[in-house]
Amino acid sequence: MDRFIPLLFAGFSTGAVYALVASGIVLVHKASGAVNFAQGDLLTLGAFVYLAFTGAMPPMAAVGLTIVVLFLAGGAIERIVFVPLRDQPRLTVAVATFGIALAIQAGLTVWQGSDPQSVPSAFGHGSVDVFGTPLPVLSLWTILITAIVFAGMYALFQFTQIGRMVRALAADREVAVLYGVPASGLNFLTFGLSGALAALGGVLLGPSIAISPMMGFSIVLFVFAAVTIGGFDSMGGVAASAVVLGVAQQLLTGYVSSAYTNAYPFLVMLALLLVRPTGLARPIAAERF
Amino acid sequence: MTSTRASTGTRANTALGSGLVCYLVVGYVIAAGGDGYLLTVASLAAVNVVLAVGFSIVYAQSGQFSFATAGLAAAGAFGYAWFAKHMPAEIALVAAVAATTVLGLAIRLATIRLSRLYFAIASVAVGGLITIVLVNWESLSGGASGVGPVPAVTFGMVDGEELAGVFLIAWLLSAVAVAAGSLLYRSAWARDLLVVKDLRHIGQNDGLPIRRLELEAYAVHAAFTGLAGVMLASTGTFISIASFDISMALQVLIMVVLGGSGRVLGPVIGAAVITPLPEILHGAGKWSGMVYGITLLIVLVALPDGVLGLWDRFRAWARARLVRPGTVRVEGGSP
Repeated sequence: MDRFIPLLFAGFSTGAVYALVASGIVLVHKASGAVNFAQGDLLTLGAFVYLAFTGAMPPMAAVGLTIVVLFLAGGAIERIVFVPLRDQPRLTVAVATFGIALAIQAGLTVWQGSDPQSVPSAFGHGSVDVFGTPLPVLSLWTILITAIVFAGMYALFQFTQIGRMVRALAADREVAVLYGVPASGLNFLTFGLSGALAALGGVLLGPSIAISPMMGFSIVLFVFAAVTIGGFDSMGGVAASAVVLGVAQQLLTGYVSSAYTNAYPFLVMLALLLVRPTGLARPIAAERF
Repeated sequence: MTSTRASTGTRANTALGSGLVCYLVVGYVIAAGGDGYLLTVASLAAVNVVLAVGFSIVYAQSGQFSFATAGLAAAGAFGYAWFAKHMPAEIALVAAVAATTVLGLAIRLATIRLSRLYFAIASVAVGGLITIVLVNWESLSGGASGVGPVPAVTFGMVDGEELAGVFLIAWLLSAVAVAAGSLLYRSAWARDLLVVKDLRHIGQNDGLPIRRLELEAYAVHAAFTGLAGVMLASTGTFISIASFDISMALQVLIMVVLGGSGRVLGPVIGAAVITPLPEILHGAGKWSGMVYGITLLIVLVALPDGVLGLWDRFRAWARARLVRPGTVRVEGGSP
């Protein structure tokens, strides 16, 4: 049991970061049908932008500014990639976001070099004792903030006019546009929001690991495992599967073997896909073309 | 579609024949006159041609996006290295390609019920899994430090110690792959694949075995990728798992998108353009990743049919203006 609680906790914390990144992917997919493979690199970008700001201003201001910058970066991706490719198959859009991912990685390498760097934490250091088990403060914050973000997004989508319009777009784009839903503006908004979520993920994850330009891409692979399991359109399902994957990864690493840490999420995903080819979410709509 | 149909027949066969002769002559000139540096780059080009032809069949022709390229190529390379310890290199080549094909078949068979998007993501996972398993399977892959020296494929025609000879065999193998790809591209099978890609439901109603075709295309892709892996091992003599990362899949993707689809010439052009790019960009080494990413974006947005599409459009334009002046303008080419 000595190891179980910290491992479980680390799992929740990892899963929370996965969930933050996954929520951005789901958000974009809901509103536009596009799959954004660059989401993980937006997280990397967020971590590096935060690193650049944090020397010059108080931590919380740096966090806020990072979120603003990444909101604009997400919106820029929408204008650069999604708008010109709107009439292309979804796979082409997905491939184009790979191009974005590559450009961000390479751009960060040019800017900061490829050596890992450490980032100061905006949310405190050290750990607190809970029932005699030391738990890192940053992980507590990660879990808390992720929970708040998900609650906020749930409220946004269920109870506000903007949320209803985004859901209408997701359900049937043409009819929604006919009814006067401003699709273009909302697409910009959702891409921007996904960028902001990635910024948050970067700020929260950065301090607990050494950040490097490649880190986002390896994270996004796990996140896609979570998104695939949870279903592309279900925010709650994705959050749950992200946490389950995070916990499973940490527990298997701790108790079975650490050589296969990076393989566990994939194994879980493949095993599930073999049983349920459409993920765990209930399929409600046919494939869109 | 129409252009594929129009290019079948005798004229296309002469085009293939003369094209292959040119291809082989280029290889021979490089082997005869090239220094070590040129030979290394050209060997890589031969490998990339095979990779791109295989990937274009699965991605551009049948519409399946697979990210397992690096994993499958690694399986081919390390499979070859292992087989070559127990048998002559030529038999090891066949065995490694066969093993990779079986691996590809197994992967696709297990994931055949997934939709395209889900398969694309699952293939990322599968490719990652293969490399992770290989890193930990030290007796096969030598762990993180790699294995070597791997014997070169010679077919008894060249000296296996000599770089030029080994390169020539690799070039020959890539020519065989291009010829095979060309024949595949003009078969009825390839046209069925196009239906699977673009008119899936119509194909289903017409009785096309959609899933079997997807499976076959993936197996062909796996065979080509396995061959590319073998060629990497054969020309490189020393292989390490570190050289099979995700950027390999991205590079191949860019080659295929840039070259254009529908003919074997597309991926060959793509490989010929993209392979020397890092060498040309050598002075600006750290910018090369950005160049790749932005090239991919520009091609996708501005040139969705690749270089071949551009050429087809130019030909249609030229024919309308130059061949029959004064007559009614002929609408042709892709819309």
